[in-house]
Amino acid sequence: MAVKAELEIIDQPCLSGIDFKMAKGDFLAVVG
Amino acid sequence: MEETNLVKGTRKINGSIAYVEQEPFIFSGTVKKNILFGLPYDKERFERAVRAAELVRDISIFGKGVETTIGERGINVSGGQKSRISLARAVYSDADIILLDDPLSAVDPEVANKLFRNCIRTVLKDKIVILVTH
Repeated sequence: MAVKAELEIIDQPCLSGIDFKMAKGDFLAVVG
Repeated sequence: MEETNLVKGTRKINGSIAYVEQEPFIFSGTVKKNILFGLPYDKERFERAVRAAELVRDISIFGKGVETTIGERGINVSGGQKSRISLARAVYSDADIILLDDPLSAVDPEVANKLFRNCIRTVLKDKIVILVTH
């Protein structure tokens, strides 16, 4: 069985405290 | 992604990562080697990556196609071509997580639109994609 890809970033000062959890198929645009 | 020490919070990464730099790293070697980046060659996968990164026309213009040497000891490639080679490298890598650091800034609006629609939102639709832009 394939391992589910995930990305989870919680409470990081460099991201101004914005938490996010992403799974396969998710798209996030960071516009600065 | 895992190169800095955590001072607080948590970071969970489950999957392989491909990173497209704002200033792409191109080494002295063929276009093909720059895209494969050490991975074994698979024709279908390679052609898919080249198409996704809108490199078909560029490669057809290069004297020796994908065997053309670029970088320090080869021909100069433009910033847009470097960016698209780096994007093709990420597509070819088939990584689970794709980090894109402003890969569209070096290309013209028409190509940027194609890359966004056909590559980022279509070919990479099953990946975790983070696009940083400004």
